[in-house]
Amino acid sequence: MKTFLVVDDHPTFRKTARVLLESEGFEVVGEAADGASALEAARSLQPDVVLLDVILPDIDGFEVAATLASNGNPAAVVLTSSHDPRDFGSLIKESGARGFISKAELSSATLRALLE
Amino acid sequence: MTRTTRLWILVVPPALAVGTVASAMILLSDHLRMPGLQALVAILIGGSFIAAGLVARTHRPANRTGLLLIAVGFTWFASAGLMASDDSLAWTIGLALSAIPAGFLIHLLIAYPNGRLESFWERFLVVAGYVLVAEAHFLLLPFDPDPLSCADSGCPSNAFLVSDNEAWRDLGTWVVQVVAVVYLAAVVATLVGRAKHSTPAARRAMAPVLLAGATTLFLFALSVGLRSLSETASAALDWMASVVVIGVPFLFLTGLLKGRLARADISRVLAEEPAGGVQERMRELLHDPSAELLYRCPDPADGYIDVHGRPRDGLPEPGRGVTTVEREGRPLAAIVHDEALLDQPELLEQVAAAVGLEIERERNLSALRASERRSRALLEALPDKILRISAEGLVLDVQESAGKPASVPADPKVGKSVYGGPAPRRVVEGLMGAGRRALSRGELQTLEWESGSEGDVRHLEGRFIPSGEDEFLVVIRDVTLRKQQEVEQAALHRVALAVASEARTEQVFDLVARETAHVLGAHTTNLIRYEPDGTGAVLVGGWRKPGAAGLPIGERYPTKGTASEAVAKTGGPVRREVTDSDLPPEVSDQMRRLDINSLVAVPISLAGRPWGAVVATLMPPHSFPPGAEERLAAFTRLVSLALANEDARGQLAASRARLVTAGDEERRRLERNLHDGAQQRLVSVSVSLRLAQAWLEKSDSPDVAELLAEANAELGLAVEELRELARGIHPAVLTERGLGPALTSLADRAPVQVHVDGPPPERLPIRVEAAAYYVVSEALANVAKYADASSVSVKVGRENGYAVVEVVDDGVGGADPELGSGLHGLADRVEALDGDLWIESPPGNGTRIRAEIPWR
Repeated sequence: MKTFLVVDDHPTFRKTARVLLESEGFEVVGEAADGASALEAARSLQPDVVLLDVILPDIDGFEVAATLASNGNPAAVVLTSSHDPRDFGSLIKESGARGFISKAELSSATLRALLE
Repeated sequence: MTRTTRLWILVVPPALAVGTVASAMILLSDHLRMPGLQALVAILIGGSFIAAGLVARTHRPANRTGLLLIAVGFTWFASAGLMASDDSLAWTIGLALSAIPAGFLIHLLIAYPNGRLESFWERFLVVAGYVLVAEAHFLLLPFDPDPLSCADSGCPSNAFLVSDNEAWRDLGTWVVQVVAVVYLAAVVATLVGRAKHSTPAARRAMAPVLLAGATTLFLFALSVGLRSLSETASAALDWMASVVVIGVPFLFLTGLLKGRLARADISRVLAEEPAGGVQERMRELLHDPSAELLYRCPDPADGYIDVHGRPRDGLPEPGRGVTTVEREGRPLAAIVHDEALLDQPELLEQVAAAVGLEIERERNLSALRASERRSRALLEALPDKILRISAEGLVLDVQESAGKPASVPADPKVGKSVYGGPAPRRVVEGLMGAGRRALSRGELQTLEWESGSEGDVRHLEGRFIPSGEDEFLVVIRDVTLRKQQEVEQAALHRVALAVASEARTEQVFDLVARETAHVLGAHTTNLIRYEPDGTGAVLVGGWRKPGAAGLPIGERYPTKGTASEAVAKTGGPVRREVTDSDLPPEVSDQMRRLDINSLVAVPISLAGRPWGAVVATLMPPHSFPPGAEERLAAFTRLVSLALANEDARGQLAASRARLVTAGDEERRRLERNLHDGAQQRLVSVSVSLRLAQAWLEKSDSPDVAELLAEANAELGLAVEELRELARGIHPAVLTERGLGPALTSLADRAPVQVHVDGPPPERLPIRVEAAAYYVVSEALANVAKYADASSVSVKVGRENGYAVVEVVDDGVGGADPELGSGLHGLADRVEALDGDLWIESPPGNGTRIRAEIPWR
């Protein structure tokens, strides 16, 4: 069972994502509302996957992903946003993240397709 | 038929008839010796008296002298004719009548020259004379058989002889002789006395006639007296008397024609113009030293004045005659003269005419002189110098200008050539060229030229007018002031153009420095800007003559003690001369160090505060003329305008930038709100619904109802958020219901108590409503954020065509419009509608925001 860290500054989304993931049999080991908390949680909780919102109050999701990668954190990073992925250009690819799932399209099927 | 014609018709034919008959009778006489000579004498005497009488009567119809002369002539003819008769009775009657002419002659002499008898004595003498001449022969004839002692020569006998008694005859003769001598002596004495007491004019007129008459009478008297002694002597005296009598009427005529003869005198005297004026000339013409000339006053009610200007009235005095002097029916004067001159109306008429001419000539001359005086005064009052120059360049006349000395280069001397003066050849040739053009074209030419040296250049304008065949007038005027004004106006125009075309202020500064230096003739001009701390100034523009000292542009210098500081303090112009006694020594020393003799500084203001100054200087020995400050101020006003324009442009650009920033900010806020709010909720709802769907597809669904309830709640919140957001973009209630309900809605949602007063029931223009709404909205937002207020009062009304919005809170105050973008944005919004926004926010005393927006 894969473990997830959910990072988003909107509690409503974090709650919805937790319900979705757990109903699919994943384990949500932690939540974070900003980039700094996310880095700290990823280091301490060592999740398999980090579901990471792109727009955060402090540092954005791309930077968090890059930092995790540079820190040698093995967690797979899945970026998410309510924006269209085309709005971010090549930033998603360059961030080192596993992939990007639009929030409106987030489901167990899309997650599994990306992680397997 | 005129009176004269009638007189001549009545007199001439009878005179010719009587004369002819008398002559014929003399020539046919048997007893007369030398009948031819006697006839000639009779014709000469009778004819001359009648002719003189006719002329006298013609020219003096009112004078009896003429009639008396004619009567003498007729009786002379009658007497001479009858005495030539050989018939005794006729001869005796003729003899009796022969004395009658003597009576008429006495009458003539006594009544001469006016034909009137003035006194009882004169009338007595005349009457006595007639009685005497009538009676003389009647007393003698009855007793004298041969009264003329001509019996021997065959004359007729005495028809009236009564007695041949010698004693009676001798007595009669003696009585007659004595009476005649006494009578004639009385007449002569009377005439002499009268001549003696007469005025000179009258005496002069009477003299020849009286002399002849008196001589005649004397000779008659002598012949009568000698008759008894010597018949021959008596006859000789009779002949002599006859010859003298012939001259009498001619003397009368001479006296009569004196007025006509005087014409030549009048012409001569007028031509000679003797000293002493009109009155003296008139006296000379009238031969009356007592004659006076009285001028008539312009107002007839004022009467007359004499030649000395003394008023005279009561014309005439007794014994004085008055003759009016007229020109073309207009009375000019009166001549008061000897009454005797009235007998010479022609002389008076001629003299009056001559005097009238003379007075008119004098008046014309006087008017001409007055006109000349006026013209001369006018010329002298003109601010021009006038030269009269010949075509060869000879100065014929110079009229100096009034007031200031004329700034004509050379000082032309009458009689000298203009080429010889100190004026530059170029100027003189220009002048002569214009003058010759005026002569050849016959019309006015104008020319302008400069004169003087640096620092005192004068501009002169000459007008050249032909004044003769080969001479012209030059009217020279100093037009320096006008020229200066023209130059100044052109310079101001250039600066104004630069300001209007929104040239950069640095360009305007440079232009103003250059133009003011040119206009004032300054050696340096500097434009300075005061430093905010008030201790110094920075040179922002300048111009200086090569060689003049000065600071570089951008240099800062301390203003302490300088004219710039004085300008900043007083806000007005400052003038300094290095020689000013009240100047502090360090200031005058500094001026000397900088080689400044004279200095003028004028403030440049911006928004009513001194911003800087223009400082113009002159090196020794020059000084700025009076009024330089005002001329400089005209330029600094334009600099102020340029600065104000730039300031306005800066404010406009800042306002635009704020608007753009505010717009961007607003878009970012909207995006953020949408992203963080409604979008997140909708995403959550979407995810939740997909999850619920998945669960429903699986039979072992946990709590689908709970999930759907949460999703529904999220959806409701999302809808609410979207509504709020839409309200933030533009409140729908304002559009739909107007300012009142919109303000009420704002008040209801505010966290503090808000009291709304107004707005007016009618709808405002949409833009004004929006601006008023946002003023209140922003003010309430600020109150909620910063004011810590317990209540707010909102008032919206209409005053003088303006919508007035006022928001007053009781909070902590201290709001700074420069710091808050919201208040700045509000000011921009209000000013965009030509309105004004004021913010009063003293610390601790709440905040008052007032907006006035034109109601249109």
